[in-house]
Amino acid sequence: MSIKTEVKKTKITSFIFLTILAIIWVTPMLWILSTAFKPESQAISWPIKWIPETFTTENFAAVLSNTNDAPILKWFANSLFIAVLHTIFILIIDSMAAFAYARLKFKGREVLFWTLMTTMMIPPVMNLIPTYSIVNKLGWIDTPWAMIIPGLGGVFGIFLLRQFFLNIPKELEEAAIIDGATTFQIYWKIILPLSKPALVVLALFTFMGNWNDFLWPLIATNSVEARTLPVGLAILQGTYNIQYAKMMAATVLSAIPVLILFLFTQRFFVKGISLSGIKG
Amino acid sequence: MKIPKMGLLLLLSFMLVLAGCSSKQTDQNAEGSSEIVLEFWNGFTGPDGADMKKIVDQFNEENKGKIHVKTQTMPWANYYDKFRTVVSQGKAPDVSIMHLDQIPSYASTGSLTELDELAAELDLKEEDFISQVWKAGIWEGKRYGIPLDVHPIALYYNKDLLKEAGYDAPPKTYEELVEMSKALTKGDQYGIAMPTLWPSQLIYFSSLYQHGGESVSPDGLKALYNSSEGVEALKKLVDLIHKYEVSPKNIQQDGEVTLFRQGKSAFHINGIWMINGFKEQKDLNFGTAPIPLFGDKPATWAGSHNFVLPKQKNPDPEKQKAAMKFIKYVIDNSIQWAKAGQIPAKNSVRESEEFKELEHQANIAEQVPYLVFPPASPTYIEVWVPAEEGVNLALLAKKTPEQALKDAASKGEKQAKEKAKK
Amino acid sequence: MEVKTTITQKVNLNTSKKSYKKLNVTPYLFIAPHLFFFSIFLVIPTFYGIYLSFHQWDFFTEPVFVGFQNFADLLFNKDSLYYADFWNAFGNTVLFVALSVPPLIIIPLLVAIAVDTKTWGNNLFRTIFYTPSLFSIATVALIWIWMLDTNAGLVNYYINKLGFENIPWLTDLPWAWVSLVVMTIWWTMGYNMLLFLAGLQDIPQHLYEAAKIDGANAFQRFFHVTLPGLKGTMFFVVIMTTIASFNLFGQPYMATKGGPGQDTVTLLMYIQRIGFGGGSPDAGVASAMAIIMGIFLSLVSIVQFKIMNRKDKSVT
Repeated sequence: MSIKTEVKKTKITSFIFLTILAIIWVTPMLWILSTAFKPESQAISWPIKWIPETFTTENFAAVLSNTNDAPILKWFANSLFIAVLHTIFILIIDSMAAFAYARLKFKGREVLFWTLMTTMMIPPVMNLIPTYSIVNKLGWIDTPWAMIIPGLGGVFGIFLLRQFFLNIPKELEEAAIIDGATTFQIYWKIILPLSKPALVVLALFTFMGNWNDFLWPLIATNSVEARTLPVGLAILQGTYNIQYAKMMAATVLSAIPVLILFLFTQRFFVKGISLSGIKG
Repeated sequence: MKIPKMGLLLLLSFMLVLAGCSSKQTDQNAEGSSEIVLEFWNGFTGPDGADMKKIVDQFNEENKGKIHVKTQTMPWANYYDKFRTVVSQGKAPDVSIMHLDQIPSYASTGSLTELDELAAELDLKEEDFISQVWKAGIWEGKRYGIPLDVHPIALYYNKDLLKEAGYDAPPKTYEELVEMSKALTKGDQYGIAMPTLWPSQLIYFSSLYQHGGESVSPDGLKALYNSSEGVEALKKLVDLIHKYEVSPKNIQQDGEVTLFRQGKSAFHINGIWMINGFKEQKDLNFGTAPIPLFGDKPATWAGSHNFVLPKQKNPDPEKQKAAMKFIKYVIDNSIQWAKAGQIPAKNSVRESEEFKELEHQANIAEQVPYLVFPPASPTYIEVWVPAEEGVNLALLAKKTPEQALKDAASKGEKQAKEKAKK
Repeated sequence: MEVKTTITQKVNLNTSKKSYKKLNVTPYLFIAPHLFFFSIFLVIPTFYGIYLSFHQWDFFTEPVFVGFQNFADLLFNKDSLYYADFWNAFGNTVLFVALSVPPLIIIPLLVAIAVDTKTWGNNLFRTIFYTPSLFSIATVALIWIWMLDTNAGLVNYYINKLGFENIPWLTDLPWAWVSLVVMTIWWTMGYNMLLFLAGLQDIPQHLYEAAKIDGANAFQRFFHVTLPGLKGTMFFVVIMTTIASFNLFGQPYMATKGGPGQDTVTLLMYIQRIGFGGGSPDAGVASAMAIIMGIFLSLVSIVQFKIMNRKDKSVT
């Protein structure tokens, strides 16, 4: 009885806490939505109006319709293709490496790992030039590969996954070794399935980081057809005349795919699924 | 779980095909023709870009099979990032737009082609252009830029608010500006919204020269703005906020634009490039005029978009000639560009009937005889930029105008000296 | 039992000999794909940056070798072009890190725990807190600049209604820092929340139950079960958040333009200005600054690592 009321108490406290925070969090987003559905001249009206006087979808139409020199759908497809491929490669490459750094014994493991870590500390501000040079020599400028491949050397994912792999109890692997499992089977059949939350988080972050990347795709693409969505949208935006309503509409459109992806991954944050193998 | 994965795979392969197909197409167009293809870079994003695009498309139509211009547009904020990265790796565009005040520093590093001969071949000469801006494209005796336009700042005013207060003409002097602003400041409405960041530097620059002051010495080493004229010029701006209180305090970036668009400020000083944006604000009935006289003699800051030919590893004279032909075409047809909110640098275009019909552009073009440009020197920016910071601090009342300009001058001169040593 | 154990041990020995041979090559196969891309796209650019930091280069003419001059100018030479601005940016950045990292750890942690109680609507809450991270910096900056507009913004509109004067959110200290911190928390809190959520999944339920049976209340369960259980995640979050805060660029670049004056100019903004900005860029000095920043960050991370490990020992 007391356990039930305790659980209920925590739920109520959590609910109140979350609601207060959520109101603060949601306000700017409601403002974004409100603005996106206003005609441009009403976007900055004074006094502040939350509900658009004239509700309109003209901004969305404007962003989507200019297909001649602003092929939004093509940019969208480019971004999708690039982000998906990049994320899949990262998941594979980083999980393999993280597994080795967390669980396999080999000479120089610690030294190598910490060296990798130090590269994360240096801001990659000058990387632009050598990366451009290399990508240029490979003939990848103005192709999707310029946005898919160079980031595969990143260390973030390895760091993240290694932390999670370290937390997995060793007994499971030891039992598997006794049963004659190969290293690859341990990786594939034990570690990966138990790390679903971490993998999902990495996939989400990687996808998003790639989707929103701006400066590098700007530099690495030349033709209008090869651009990614953020770069393309920036070109629609005038330099000095801030078109608030259109920009908000473009933002909403841009955020939808990742939001869908995120909603898709909700089930991985429910406790109990990952720990089905570990009890008592 | 498996079904979404399959769907994802299908989507992927579909995208692969799409991406593969379209990139092949662009390749095919480039091969197999004796057409000269020119890479043209500019920063004209958004609606202005549409006007430039019209001109480029026209050119491509008329020169089909001979010259084809491929445009690459990107936001100005990142333009020079890409320019530096790409050009330093030897992949410069054939022709690009550059701001006038950037030319000396790029010319001094040898990244721009000298245009004297090429310009002469096409009979481009001083008489055809606004002479200050034509002259300003020269650095160390050689020409590097061909001017496309000039874009000065101007006075925008809210016709409705003025009428309400009993005025039917915008102010011409500082005194008139203060008097009218006082009458127009009531409630949450202000006479003028004085920006503390961009474009306050341009307003200050104009005020400085109007007072007979100067910005930087021609050799680019001495700061001339911390003169008594310079201090007076800055004081006039600061007083609008803190003495006469006809402008709100602490306006953050672009806040002054918002206020004008909302109809909460009667006057607004900004570049000619704001015209189309304000036109979009349908309930804003605005007029344009030359900026008021803060000092004794008229002077207005203007920038200018110039055509430059970046230096190539292996210069191709055929391409250079084609590029110049393109440049001349755009300049001759720059009435279309004027519609984007610019003033053509070519006299004949600016004096045409068509241009005079562009009400706002024509109003602002009255300032052409007294436009002022920064002196051409690679260290100009080193000496001048601290002044911009000083202007910001003075407008925020964090330093007095005297102190702000004094500190800026010593910092600026030190920077220039260090740079000149290199 | 002993007999069985001996037999099992013998079997184990055989197996481990087999795995030992396999383990020789296999680890390298696992790390190879990453190292391949790492050496091409990270090592080479990093070495290039180090090379540049000993030169001065304006992008177009030949780089000029200057030895340690750049480092001396930045760190020690009071009269150099860069000294004052560098240390100003450095101080501003450290200030921002100190102001932003604690809330960026505590708030997401509390939110994650609250969401984890599976209270009503927790899916919706999770989505609300995460969605801001989907927006690009350009959008985030634009929306906040506008909401925080001194004279025409949402926030001051309501503040006026409450009877207070307009607050200069973006043009004056200390408000500029408040705005930058709040903006950053709004934007990136979702990342850390998700990471903590993932970490919370890994804490076995039975540990909580055992603690409850032992009579531990909520606070005690938090400190003795949750926090230790999150150790690995916490380490990751602290390091990554610190790095991210050190790299603050977009928010001040767009919202305060480094103002008032230069008071919100961060290291990365200054590096960007020197490396790519108008006037006379110097890629060598910019690279040197990046390296100094990297070394400093590494030191900070080592200190954080040591602190967290020591805490670990005291818990056990």
